[in-house]
Amino acid sequence: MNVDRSVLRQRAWTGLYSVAAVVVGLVISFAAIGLSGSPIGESIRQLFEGALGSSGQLAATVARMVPLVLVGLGWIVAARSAIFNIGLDGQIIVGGICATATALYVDAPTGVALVLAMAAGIVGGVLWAGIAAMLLARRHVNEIISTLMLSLIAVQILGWLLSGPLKDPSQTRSQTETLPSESFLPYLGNSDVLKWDLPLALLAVVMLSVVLSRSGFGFRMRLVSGNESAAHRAGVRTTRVRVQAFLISGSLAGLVGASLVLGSRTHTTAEGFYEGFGFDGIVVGLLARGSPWGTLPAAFLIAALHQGGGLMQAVLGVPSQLVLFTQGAVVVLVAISDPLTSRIRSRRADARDASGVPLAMGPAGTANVD
Amino acid sequence: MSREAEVPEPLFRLSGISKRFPGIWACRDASFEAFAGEIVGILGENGAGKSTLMNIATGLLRPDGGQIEFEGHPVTIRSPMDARRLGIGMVHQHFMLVPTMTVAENAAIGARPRRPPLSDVRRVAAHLREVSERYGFPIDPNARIEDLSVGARQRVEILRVLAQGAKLVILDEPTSVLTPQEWDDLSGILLALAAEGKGIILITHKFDELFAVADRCVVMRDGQTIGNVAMKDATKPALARMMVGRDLVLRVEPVHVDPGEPVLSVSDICLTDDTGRQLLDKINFEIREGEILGVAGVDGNGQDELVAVLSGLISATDGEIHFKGSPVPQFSPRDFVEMGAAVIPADRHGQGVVLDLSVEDNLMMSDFWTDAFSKRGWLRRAPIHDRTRRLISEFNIRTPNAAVLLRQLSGGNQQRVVLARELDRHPKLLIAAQPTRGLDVGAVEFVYERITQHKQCGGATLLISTELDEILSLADRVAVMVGGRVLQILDIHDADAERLGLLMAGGRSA
Amino acid sequence: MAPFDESFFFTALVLMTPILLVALGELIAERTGVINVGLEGMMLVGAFFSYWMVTEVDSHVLGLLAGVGAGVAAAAVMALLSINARADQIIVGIGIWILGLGLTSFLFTEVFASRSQIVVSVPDPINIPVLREIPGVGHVLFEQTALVYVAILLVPAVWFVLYRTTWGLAVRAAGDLPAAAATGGLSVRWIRWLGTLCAGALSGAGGAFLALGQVGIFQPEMTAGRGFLALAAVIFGRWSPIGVMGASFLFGASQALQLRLQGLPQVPRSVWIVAGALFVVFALNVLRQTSSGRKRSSWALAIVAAVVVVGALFTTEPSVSLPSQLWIATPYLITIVALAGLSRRGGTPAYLGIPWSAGEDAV
Repeated sequence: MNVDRSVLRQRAWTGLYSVAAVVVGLVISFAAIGLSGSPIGESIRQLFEGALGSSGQLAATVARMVPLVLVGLGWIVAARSAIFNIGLDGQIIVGGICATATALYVDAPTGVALVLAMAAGIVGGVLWAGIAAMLLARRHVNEIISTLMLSLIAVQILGWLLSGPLKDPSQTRSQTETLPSESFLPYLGNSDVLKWDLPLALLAVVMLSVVLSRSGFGFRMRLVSGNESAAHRAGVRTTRVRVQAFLISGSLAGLVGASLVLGSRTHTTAEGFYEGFGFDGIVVGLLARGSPWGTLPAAFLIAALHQGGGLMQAVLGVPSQLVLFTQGAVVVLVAISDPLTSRIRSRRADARDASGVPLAMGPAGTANVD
Repeated sequence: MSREAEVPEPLFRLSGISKRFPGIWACRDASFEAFAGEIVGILGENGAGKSTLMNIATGLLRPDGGQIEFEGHPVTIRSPMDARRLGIGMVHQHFMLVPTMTVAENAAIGARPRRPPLSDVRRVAAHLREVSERYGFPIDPNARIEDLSVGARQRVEILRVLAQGAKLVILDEPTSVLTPQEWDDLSGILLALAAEGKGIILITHKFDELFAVADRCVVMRDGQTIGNVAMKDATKPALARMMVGRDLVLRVEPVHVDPGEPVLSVSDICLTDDTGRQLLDKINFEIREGEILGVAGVDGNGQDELVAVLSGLISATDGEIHFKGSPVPQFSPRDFVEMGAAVIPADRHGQGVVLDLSVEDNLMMSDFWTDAFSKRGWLRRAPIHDRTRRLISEFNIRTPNAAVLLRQLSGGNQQRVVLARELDRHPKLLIAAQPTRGLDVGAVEFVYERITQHKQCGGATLLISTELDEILSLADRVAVMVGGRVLQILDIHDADAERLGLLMAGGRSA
Repeated sequence: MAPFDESFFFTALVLMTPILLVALGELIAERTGVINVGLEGMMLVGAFFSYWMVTEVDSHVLGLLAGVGAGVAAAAVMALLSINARADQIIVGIGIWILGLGLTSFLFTEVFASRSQIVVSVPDPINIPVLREIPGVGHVLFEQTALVYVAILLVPAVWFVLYRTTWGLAVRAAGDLPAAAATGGLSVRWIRWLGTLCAGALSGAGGAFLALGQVGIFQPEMTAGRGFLALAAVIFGRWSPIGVMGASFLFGASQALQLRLQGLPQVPRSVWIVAGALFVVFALNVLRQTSSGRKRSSWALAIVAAVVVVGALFTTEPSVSLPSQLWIATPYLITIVALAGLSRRGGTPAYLGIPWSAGEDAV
């Protein structure tokens, strides 16, 4: 597709802007560290050490980056249809639960067991997102609230399952029995950190990028997020497109849940297995400015922050929650010119009726919903 | 009692006003005078700078250069409050009335109350009632805006301005939403206000209004004030020439084509909303190949609803629609497109285009899924690019390239994109709703050309317009819509502006 | 009826208060046209800073002020970015949420990890002399702590301000048609700033109440979604103060119910009856709005089902006990159900979420 030079220039600026946001976020965070009494210079050093210090550290960072890429893609797919899926954590959890259950209760040979469990995870994510999608499509329930509520509910369901039906009776802690080895997510080659979810994530980036820019579905999404009324007029089934995007988003989260569970070091599923990846994924998606390829550098940055933060805490006692603070600052800064969403709501202001009164919806009557 | 001002000192004077927006000069060295007791018109096409000039006068915009004088003294108008305090009031084209509030509440917005923080709505209401009775158009101050008709809302705007003590009243395109009868009422009010010594400025692009009430007229073009004419010395062609810069053909004769098979038949279509209000009442008509059926009527009489029903956005609550002989019980906008029909929506930005997508994306919105441009869900780039190039040249769309965002194009070019998209499909039925709204004369001529071309190729057209001249120039038959009903369908030879105007006001023609 | 006794309603009011405070603040902000997704973050900073203040100074009043101040600061960031910089309000809100979460968790570990946790005493209730003697409602309504009274009294106060004062007029204009406010000479920016700061102040107060008045301690992430419950309360309450109070009470009551039922061996019948009745009302309401509501057969079916359900509840006593975690999830579930039952129309400020810039309509 021909891309206008001014559009390219704009994309370059948004990329630069993201980098600037991260830098400023870091500066603010280090200021906070300084204020709390810890040595700033040393902290910076530990941050870089933790993320990039040795090949082992780098590998760990990359391993951590992988789920973030997938969740970030999940955010982006939804956001590109004007859907704010902030309940990705919940979809990860349900995906993880489904994968765990399948691994534990379905007997299958190596390879097949893994595939089945991953598939179950994806289905779980789709179902959980699907609840919110149906609520949005049929009952016009704001997806910000519904996905978050569902996420909170999912946490409770996980807690119940892990201390009840799925609990390993031989342990006192809330966790499942050891998952059968046939369902393990294998490591890549000789690595003891990188797993097969890495190529999966790269594949997802490529696929999503291609679909968004070159497929009819991707075009429909552009239309729907650009101007829903015009899209509807042109014959696009807008609700269906948004639901599909929502479900894809959930599937990616479900995939992450499955890979976290099936690739866990302890080979059991315990409370908090999802480690807030859903949350971080939102930040990745925002930092990536809606571009699938952008999730790679964005996820790397966030993963690096976490790894570095861990070392900072271990060596200097700087609480690792600082990373969360940094992420918040980054999101706030990035929000100032998010190309995807800033127009979506202001575009409603363009629609007016004959006397100039702005239209929120179309004329009254039974509307045809596809 | 003479309406013409004897006092030589103008009530209001703008000298050398300039205003710049990114990329264009909206006003350039514009000068203008208004006198007390006089009605002066500002005539110009869309984009000529009339609204900008008046927005500067009312404090919504600050000029980049020039001087403003009121009652002989130089003033700086920094905000609407300043303008209001001086006594300048404006009735906007798009009403600034909050629908969920009452008339009095709207008038009370921004007013300093007697006992803050309590609002003075009751006192404002009493004042409004008094003022409205004094000028002879009663308004209930406790009525909610959303319950009022458009004409009534306009009167509320005027009332609000008067109640704030305006000495200079500016009206921006007031008649675009009025029936001829309501315009008669309004012109009476304006003449009365002028007689009282108020200064009235009338912004318009319609000659008839000026000839009806104005004493004088200032013509604007491309941001400059280029003429100052007393109405008694003015002629329509002369004004048109000043407005456009060239001789303008004001009325075109419709081209005749022998009508063919019926394309669209509508029987007894009714539409009721949830509160039981009848939005469409037994609509009946038929359009054949090669025919243009015009629908005349003031906005708000069911035209939007008719378009929505016919294009599939809404299902009628009763009645039948037949397309090319076959009944279509219930259909969506997608079905509408697949049937071979096209619609140019009245609300271009809201429903016609996606401003944040490229020209190419907008051109392929309606048919990207067809086999020509899509293969198994993937877009076929080469055919799409080729078609885009072809449409840009065929429809004279002025754009640097196909990837530019639609937002960057002018209104006229945006409408060309819509036309290109819809007409290139060679639809059997074209529904054109207000197709030339907001367009400059060149674009208007282009739209007329294309619609005529479509007609000559055997297409059927439903043309909905508030501009009677447009309907009289293009249509073969005219339907007049009032209050959701089609009052009468006239053959074009039996129709003229007077007769249509009378029908639009609800009367029956002889 | 068993769990719905005096102490239940007492607890319900206490649990309602933080949600109500936040929701009223958000109501004002949304009426001016600003939507605050970051309420959760604002509540958290309110909770943390009020708690910290009380551990240092041992004054509930100063603690409350600290909480309110923190909320206002967070809201100022929100206002600066979404009103002045015209950034997307939802994204900024998400950022404030994460910021609040991160800042409070970080500071909590920094400040309190080394110290032993101090449980702060809950402020004394203010017992209103004569009225507290009224049987039934006396204890529930008139023996609460100060902030509970404030929250409840704020409801008619907000109503009065919105509908009877000039500022209320300005607020409603800014949210429904900012152009009207602008031509009236008002500054839409200032109005929205004030509205956002109100939301921040009340969110800070809500957080402070949570930490000081309800629990007595700060824990990271202790708001557990209440900020979003407040958002839901504004929607469910149809942007009216009374409605918001009703919605907040519903959410508070469901939390109180959860606390009560966690300990019981099985769900008492009275709860089933109330739940059943509410469900029937809900289902009929939904039916009324959907297209199948036009058919008489659907209504007949619904009435029959309702009669069966109610009859069954009155005769049998289902013995079901639920694990504690699912009880904790009840308020969230109720929120979803409540929002799902709403009809589409009504109440949303027309320009909610849409950034405003002067001079846009001109030319």
